[in-house]
Amino acid sequence: MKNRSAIAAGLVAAVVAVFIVLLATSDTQQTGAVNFEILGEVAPPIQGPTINAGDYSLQDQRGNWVVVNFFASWCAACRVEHPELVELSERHPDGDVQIVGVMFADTEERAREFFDELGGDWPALVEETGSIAIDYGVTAVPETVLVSPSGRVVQKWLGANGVTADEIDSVIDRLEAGG
Amino acid sequence: MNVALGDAGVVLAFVSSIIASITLLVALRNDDEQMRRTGVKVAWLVVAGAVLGFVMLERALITRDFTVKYVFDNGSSRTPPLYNFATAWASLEGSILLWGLVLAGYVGVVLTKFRQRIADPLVTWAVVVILLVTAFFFALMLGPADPFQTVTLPANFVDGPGPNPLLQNHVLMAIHPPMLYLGYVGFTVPFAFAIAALVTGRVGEGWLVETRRWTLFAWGFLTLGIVAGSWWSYDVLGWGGYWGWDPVENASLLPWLTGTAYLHSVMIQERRGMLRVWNLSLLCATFSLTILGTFITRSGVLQSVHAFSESSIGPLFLAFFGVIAAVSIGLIGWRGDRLRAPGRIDSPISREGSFLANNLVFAIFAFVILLGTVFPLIVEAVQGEQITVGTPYFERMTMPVGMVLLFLMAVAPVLPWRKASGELLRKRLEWPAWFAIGSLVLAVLVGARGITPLIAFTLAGFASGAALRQIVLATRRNGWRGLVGRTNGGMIVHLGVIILAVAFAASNSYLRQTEVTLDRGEAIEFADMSFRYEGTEITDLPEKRVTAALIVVEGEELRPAISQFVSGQPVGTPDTLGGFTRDTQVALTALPENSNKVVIRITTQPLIAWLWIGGVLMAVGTVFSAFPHRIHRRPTDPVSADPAALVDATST
Amino acid sequence: MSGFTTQWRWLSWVLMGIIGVSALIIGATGDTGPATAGERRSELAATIRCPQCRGQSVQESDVAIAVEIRADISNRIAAGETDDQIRQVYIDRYGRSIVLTPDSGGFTGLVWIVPVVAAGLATAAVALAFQRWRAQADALAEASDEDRKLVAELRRDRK
Repeated sequence: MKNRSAIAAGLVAAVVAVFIVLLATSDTQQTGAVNFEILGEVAPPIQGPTINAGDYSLQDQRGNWVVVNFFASWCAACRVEHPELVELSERHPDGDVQIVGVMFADTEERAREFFDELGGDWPALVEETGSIAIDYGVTAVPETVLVSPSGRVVQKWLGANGVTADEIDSVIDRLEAGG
Repeated sequence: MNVALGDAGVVLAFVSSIIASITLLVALRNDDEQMRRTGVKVAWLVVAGAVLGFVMLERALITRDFTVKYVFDNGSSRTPPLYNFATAWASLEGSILLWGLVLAGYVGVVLTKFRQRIADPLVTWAVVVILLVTAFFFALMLGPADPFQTVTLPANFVDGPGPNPLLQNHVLMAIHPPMLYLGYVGFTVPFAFAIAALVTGRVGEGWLVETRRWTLFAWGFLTLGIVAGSWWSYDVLGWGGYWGWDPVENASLLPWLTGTAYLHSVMIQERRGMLRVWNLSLLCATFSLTILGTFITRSGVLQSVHAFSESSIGPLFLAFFGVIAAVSIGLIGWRGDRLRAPGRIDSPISREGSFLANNLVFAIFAFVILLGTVFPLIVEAVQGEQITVGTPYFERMTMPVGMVLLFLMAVAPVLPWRKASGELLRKRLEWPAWFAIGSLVLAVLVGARGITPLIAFTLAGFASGAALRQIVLATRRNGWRGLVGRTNGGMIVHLGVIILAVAFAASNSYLRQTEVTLDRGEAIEFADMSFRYEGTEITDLPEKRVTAALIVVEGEELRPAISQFVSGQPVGTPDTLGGFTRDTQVALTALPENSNKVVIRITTQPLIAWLWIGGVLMAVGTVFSAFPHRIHRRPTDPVSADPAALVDATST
Repeated sequence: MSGFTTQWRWLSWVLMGIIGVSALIIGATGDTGPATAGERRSELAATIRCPQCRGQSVQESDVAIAVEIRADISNRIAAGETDDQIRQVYIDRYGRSIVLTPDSGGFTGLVWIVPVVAAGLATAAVALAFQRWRAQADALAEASDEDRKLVAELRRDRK
């Protein structure tokens, strides 16, 4: 009898112990998934009318690095990173590093105001539904994606952290050197 | 002064709980009456310390003493008085202090109710266990969860941020946490007695049965707390949801499930001395699960809208959970041989058999919920992949369990003890069966469709029939006393559960929802009702700006709103047109740019009111079942007649 | 109990059965799927997690990405995609965790199977226990000679 109790207790204790170890070793989860599914994939198409440069197609930019910037006028962090993108565009006047903006959940009017206020002359798409953003797995704005000359997504930045002209340039240099 | 006295209170409570425990243990060892009395006196200091600490925190909040870090982080001169009072438990440190206060309160009540029996080693052991748990919580407040830290005010300080906007938007903020804590913390008492019974080896006496009323009290408040939480969610969220299978919600349901199983199963122990291992395990599991629930809420290991901000307190709770589990499993394993029942369950078709089945079903119910909640962690640990286990899983898995429980609720009350014949069952279940068919026909007649909800309604009718049959028989026999007492009160609770289950099934199966954009003056038709947008109304209050849209629904005015607080995210407040058979809720999905156009979400669900009616009925039934319907006699009191004399009398 | 009453009892159960089954048939066949495209979208959106939130579905949440995903789902429904296709689109872009229902295959499928297996094992264990108790009770049914001798002895001692 005693044995049976001991065995049963031992089994239960073992299960509970495994459970506790599982909980102890689990990392705390961050709000929202950190979505890097797109890394390494062929960049989904970005196509459509822009507010300042006629029709745009990502396909046509093959051979150049493209920085795709998802932004919105109501997003504070987007305002923080925008000057850096302006700086980046000024550093590459010959177009080997292009920038394209994709507006997220916003209106054409406000996009124009945004660019008028903060500068920048790269094409900016305003889409009716967020299908381009969804294609790129965007969860919030701002998100910035770097597309290589061969058309693959090689880097993704969430939020305004790390989206500086220096950082983007250094990543591009590193990847060009590394091959 | 607030900090000094507050800290003093916490230290006093902690030190007293340790000293009292040690004193009582020494008194136990040496059987020293004097030491025991001293121990009890020191234990009362725990209550004093807890009250002092809590009063000081409230004083700091009310006087807006921003030098106290807790007030600096959570208080504001703009917060209205009621919410300011409730800010005491709006954040981690305060919530631990509230837990400590409720725990100290229970210490006081235990000391009072058992003051004449404190000499009994079992009672002493129980008090020691409660004091040790109290010591843990107050130790937390001396370390990572200190509500009385100080802060020097920066030069340009104007005002504090106030509590999270979601926590100052609804009056239930003042009710839901205290009730929940009365429930959670209340389970400490029967747990302590279970441990005491195991330690002293006196598992055969009626001690577990005696503490059933404490368990009922705690269970009742936990039920009310969970229902209040659902009501709050419903009033605030905007999509008609009241239960999201969120990890924190699941964590609060787990001890409720094992507690419910215990409340039933202990009746078998009372009558026939059986299922003792089950009962002790269920009690210890219930208390352990409250600690596990606290861990989940405060550790950030699982994402939840209810989670407190992360802190280092998680591992401490996990360690405490481990200690509780180890002690419980160890003691039950050690005393296992003493717990074996002398009798056997004769037949599965009997009251005992159905209660054993009940235990199993509740255990599986709890297992499924626990598995679903922690499964993402398991998958991450084993495969490194992220998955989500959400509402669709829980609904699909708990639905059959719910059906089985409804069936058990129908059959168990009519089952006699020991054995039942088919004929007896047929006779007793005929009435309830007609009720079941009647419910099904009624449901089909009012338009309910879909095989799953219809089966649920049939079983609900079956179970209500059995409950009503019992109540009718009892009131016929005993008049109004047929409504009180354990069985009859229990039937009222069952009715409450059934009404709640029907509401759950109906509102989930027949929910209709849509999102529309309306111009000013425009009306649309949805679910046989018209909705017309009239305009926006803006109200400026000290702590928030409220932008409401006036929507006219079938002649009634609804004002769904969005509130913008000084700090924090804007919070939506839907408005509901409630009714006995149907609720219609309208919510603003986004702050309207101008008053010409709004986007609203409309949700209609049947029988939402029955959720709250069922909850209230459960509470009423709990109160009724605590009422004695016979002269109350403690099971541990000696019998009135001398056994030897009885034998002589019968043998001649 | 007269034969007539027993007959009536059986009849009443049969009647109950007939009414019940008829009602269930009426009820079951009357059930249609989602009535409008909007409701279909709501049902589908309720199974997709809002990527930015803590566990809410895109149907429930009102953050920007949830609104966009709801609109995208509407477009896809209008374009004629099936529920499964739409879900797969989201899994491709956001990973498996975007769907609120865990996969029924592979390791993840355990979350569906383990509870069923556990319930089955528990029922089997209880059934076995009852069988064993029945056997034990049967074995005790007959009083042995030893028992009789013991009782006789005790009765003698008592006098």
